[in-house]
Amino acid sequence: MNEQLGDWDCLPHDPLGFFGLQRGFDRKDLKRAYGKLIRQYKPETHPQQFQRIRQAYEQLESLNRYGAEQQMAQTQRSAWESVLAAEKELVAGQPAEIKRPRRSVTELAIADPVDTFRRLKKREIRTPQDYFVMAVLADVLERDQPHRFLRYLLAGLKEHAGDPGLTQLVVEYMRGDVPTKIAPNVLLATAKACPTAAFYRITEPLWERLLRDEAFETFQQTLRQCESHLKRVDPRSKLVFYIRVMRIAIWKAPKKWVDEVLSKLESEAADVDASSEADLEFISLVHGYQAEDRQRIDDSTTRRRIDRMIQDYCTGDWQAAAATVTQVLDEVARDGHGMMAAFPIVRGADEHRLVMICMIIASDIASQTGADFDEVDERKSNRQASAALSDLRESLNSVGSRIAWLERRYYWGSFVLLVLVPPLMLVGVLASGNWGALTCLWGAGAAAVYFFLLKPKYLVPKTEEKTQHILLQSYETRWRSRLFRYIQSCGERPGAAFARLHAISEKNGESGWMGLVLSFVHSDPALTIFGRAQAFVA
Amino acid sequence: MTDSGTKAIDPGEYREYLKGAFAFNPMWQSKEVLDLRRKTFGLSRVDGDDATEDVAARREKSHAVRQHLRQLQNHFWTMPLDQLQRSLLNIDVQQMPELAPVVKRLRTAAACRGEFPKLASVRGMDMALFNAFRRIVVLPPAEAGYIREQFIQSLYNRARVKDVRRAIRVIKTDYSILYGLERDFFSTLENLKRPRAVGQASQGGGGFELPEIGWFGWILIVIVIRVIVRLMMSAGN
Repeated sequence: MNEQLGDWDCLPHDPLGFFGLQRGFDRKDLKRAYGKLIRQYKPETHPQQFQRIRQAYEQLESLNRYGAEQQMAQTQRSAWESVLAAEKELVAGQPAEIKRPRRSVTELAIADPVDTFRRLKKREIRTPQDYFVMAVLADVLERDQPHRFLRYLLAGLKEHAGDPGLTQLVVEYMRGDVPTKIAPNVLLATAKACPTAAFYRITEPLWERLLRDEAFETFQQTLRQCESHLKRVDPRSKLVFYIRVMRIAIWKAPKKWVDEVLSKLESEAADVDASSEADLEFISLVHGYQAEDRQRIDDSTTRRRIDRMIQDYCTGDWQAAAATVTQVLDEVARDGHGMMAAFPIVRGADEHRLVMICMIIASDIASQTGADFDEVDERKSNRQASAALSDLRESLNSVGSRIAWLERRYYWGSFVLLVLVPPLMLVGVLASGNWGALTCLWGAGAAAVYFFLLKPKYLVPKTEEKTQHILLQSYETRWRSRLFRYIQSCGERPGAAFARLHAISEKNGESGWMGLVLSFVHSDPALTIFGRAQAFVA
Repeated sequence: MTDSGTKAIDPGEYREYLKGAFAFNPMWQSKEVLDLRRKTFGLSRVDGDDATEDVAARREKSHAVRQHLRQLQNHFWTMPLDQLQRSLLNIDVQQMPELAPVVKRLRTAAACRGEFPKLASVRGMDMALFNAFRRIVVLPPAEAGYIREQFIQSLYNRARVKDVRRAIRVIKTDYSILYGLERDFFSTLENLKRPRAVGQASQGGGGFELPEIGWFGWILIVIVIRVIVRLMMSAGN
């Protein structure tokens, strides 16, 4: 990445330059650059700029995901750029003839559309620009023909497979101009016209809509039909496409289909780039969540909310997803008790999948909407941390006593029962004869058994297990709610807030026990999600 | 296909359309080409995604609504009630679902605004709690969170906690809608384990505690006593 980030002169012709990227960039770098710009041009305050950034980002993201940005050969770019240059001159009112001896096809089309259209139709060899001009002219001159605009674009793609200008036009047309009801026909026509790897990238938005709005069977049948026409398909494009649509399909398709496709994708994951691999991991997480964790939703309103958020994030377009995620996280951020009840600690299940899913969703939506924590008021935050520390310290003392008593009971109790009681019993019961030697023998033997066998093998693990249970219980009943309050009141990132707590405890020489408390924090799913949600409160 | 629904345009319009469409580079401005096509022929997007201008307008509106909400929050208690309610009702949350929770909350609080003076005059009401509640209920969460915490910190002894709990019981039974607005905060106060008064604080096991003996302890004590008795008896013999 270079330093020329956000140079508006680069748009729209050079989105790479705008994001400060080089050819062959990493999608993470694109996301990072996008996030930086979005923080600067927030959608609420700079809507126009945000929209332009978003548009450039979406285009590059799709190109990069399919590895298609390399296909934008310089010659093809130049060809389209010459069209633009000619038109710019024309619009500015400069006589184009001064610089060029012949008039461009677009100039001719503006001057005499009917004649130009007729001539273009007669031509045996047509350039991508010719097809673009024909598509535009057809809207007026062939009004009775259905699919006229798309038909010429597809014809152009059939002749100039992979042409970037025509490809982008078809992508945009698929996204916003093809009604879902006729999507299967359009997709089939596209597969016939463009039976190459580019098919997946071009049609991706329409497939997503088809999956969202129609029965899964329609999607499956259409896909099968289209794939029967595809030739020379790059397996990577197919993988990337399936990873994309799986995000929606996972909620609509029969389990058998999902399992089969997912296992195939996982076995071929080595062929995709790191970002697509991350997308696949996300899908695997959601799949696991659906199979196991979703059963725990029961009557919990909080869990139901989070489930709705995950589902809407996966199946909705980005705007709908952003709206739902923001709304749900706002609700979650206000309901600490609901979160604690929904995710118990002591008898709680493993929630790592749900936490990871929520973190990925929150990060993604935050990077797209610019949702972030407010600036930190150091004085306020320090005061909150000190108050939290004081409350935690107090309850920790009584927990310490409980653990000390537990150790006494286990170690000393067993020692007394094993080493001291039997000899005393012998004395008590027999109280005669040669009991002294027997007592000594018993004492020595029992002590050896105690120190070399019983204590290390049984008592120490048992005590540790019990101690852990006490600490977990204490976390759930005493410290947890205090930490929730702390996170809600300090108004900073959870990581920074806990680091502050630790730093203050260190200053007071109490980092040992604070470290113990914080060790539970990291495995508390409710607190992790709740903390992240604070950035979304309105 | 949407092409079939296109409106007829006159030649002048058509020429402008051609000039506009050909001025774009489809490689990077395909969206603009198709936006212009839709605009010219009176078509709408089928995916429900707004046109660039609409998205921009929506964002601007969302920002303006946020500012407006902030104004309403600041003047919640001084603004005439009918004006306040009208302003809140006029906010279209369907268009801005991300603001729905805060608008819903303010609408509820506004509908109950008349209940607050009654609540203040309830016998035994903790006025510090009432004042904190009055502020918290309308403020944005970050500020409200700070006030909540300040209030909790101010509960320095058990007697205060008791007073607060009593007041919460009243709110819960007689003003359930108000209770619902700050359920989370009230639950925290109800479950609060407040520090013992100064001087009573636990000292980390340093205080005297009668140990729990348990069944085996009692058996041990009986055996020891029995042994001692026997030893004494045998010594006597």
